[in-house]
Amino acid sequence: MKTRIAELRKHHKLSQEELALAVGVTRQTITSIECGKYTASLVLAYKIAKYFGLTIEEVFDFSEVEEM
Amino acid sequence: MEKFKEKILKRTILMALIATLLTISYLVLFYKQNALPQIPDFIKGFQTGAFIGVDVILIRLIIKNIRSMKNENSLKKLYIEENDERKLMIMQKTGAIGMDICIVALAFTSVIAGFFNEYIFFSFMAATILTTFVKGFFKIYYRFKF
Repeated sequence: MKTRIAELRKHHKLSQEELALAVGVTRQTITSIECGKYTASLVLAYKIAKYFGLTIEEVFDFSEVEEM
Repeated sequence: MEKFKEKILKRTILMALIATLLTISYLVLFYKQNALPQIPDFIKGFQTGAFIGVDVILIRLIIKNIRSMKNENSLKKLYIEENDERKLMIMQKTGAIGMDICIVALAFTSVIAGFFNEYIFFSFMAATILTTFVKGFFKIYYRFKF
């Protein structure tokens, strides 16, 4: 799944480690989500979106899911 | 985080108990080995190696846990490390796929062993049945749980 996490991180001048610590996951999980290798759970997606002050749909791209 | 701290404390005590029991049982068996049936040297070497390996791992984990309990940041990192959803998913997938492969390999080996030795055949067959039973039990348990 495509996300805007990397873009938002850069905008907020935030490292993967800092974001990971803030949302309660490891840095590797953030890396995998950014690369599209791992799809975040609903709870994690909510935490990430909330951290950036956005909605889940604004951070995560659901177009692939809608096509299915 | 206090609950997690308590969990880590309990785990550390349990690890210390296991390490102590392991050391005592090894030392007792080592000093009483003349009264036991004689076994080849390579088995003794393996036993010593396995004992030292497990004890070193346990002591390392005990030290890590004690250090984490003294520092809030380390405790949070340990909590994250243990509850990371991607890590949990990897563990679940590894366990499920690994067990399936083990069952198939054990069943295959028991069939092959049956051509050579009856005891080996029954040992592998028992291992296959036990592994299948354990998998089946947890499958039913989690079906009811979720």
